[in-house]
Amino acid sequence: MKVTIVDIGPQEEEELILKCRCLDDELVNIINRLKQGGTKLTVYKDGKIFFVEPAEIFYFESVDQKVFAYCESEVFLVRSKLYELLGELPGWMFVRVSKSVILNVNKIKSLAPAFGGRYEALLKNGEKIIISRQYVSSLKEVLGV
Amino acid sequence: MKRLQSMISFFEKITAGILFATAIYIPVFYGGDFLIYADILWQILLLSAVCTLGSILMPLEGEKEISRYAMLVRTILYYIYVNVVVLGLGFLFGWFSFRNGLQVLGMELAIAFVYLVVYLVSYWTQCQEAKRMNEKLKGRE
Repeated sequence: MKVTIVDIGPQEEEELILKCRCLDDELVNIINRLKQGGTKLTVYKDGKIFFVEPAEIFYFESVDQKVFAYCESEVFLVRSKLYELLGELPGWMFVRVSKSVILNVNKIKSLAPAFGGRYEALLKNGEKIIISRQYVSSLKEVLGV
Repeated sequence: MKRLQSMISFFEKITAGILFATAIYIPVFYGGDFLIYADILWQILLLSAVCTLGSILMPLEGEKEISRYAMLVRTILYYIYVNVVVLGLGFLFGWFSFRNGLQVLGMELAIAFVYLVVYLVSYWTQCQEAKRMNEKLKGRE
């Protein structure tokens, strides 16, 4: 995508013009993020749009090509792929722990060994998430172990 | 490099386990005053090395994910491999006779003991790792 920045005079109002052939999900996400200040994540539930602080999300899970954000007691649909989320979310807070899950490290209550070199994360809301052997090193890196 | 480190770790655990098992096996089947040759030390090291080779069946940390079922199958396959190696080499070294059922049973118990020791030590290492990570998690709160 081409990005053009034009200098304007002190009296002129700042304006963002988006030229596109069609408004796809990615562009809608960008617009929503600009509208709500940039830090919050755009999520969907029952046809409504919500803005959620990433710190409130416990984990993201990909199920049947759809990505869901799990908060303490609510689940939202996210219109981004897991790899896209990894690029957007703060790396010190979120880490991929399996093929289908990105976990908020700050929401882990404790970790325990599981069969086959895996670990089981007990979250602060009581849920349990398996950390695949493949991603244990990423978690250790984020934790500084 | 990771594989080599893992194999060295396996070798250490297996050797320690076999030494313990031998220390029990010899007095039980041959008596406490039985004299052994220094060769047995090399035999133990060779046996440990061959058993360690089979550890390539076990996945490494960071390797592609396998299912619980696949992990269980690999664990069983490794146990069978260890059985074949220990019984084969043990027979060649003259540690036991297949005609003596009690000695074969003793070998099987020794194999199970070493396998359990290696498993428990690996689990303990993982527990220590979890403990370190939990401490780091507490530091984040």
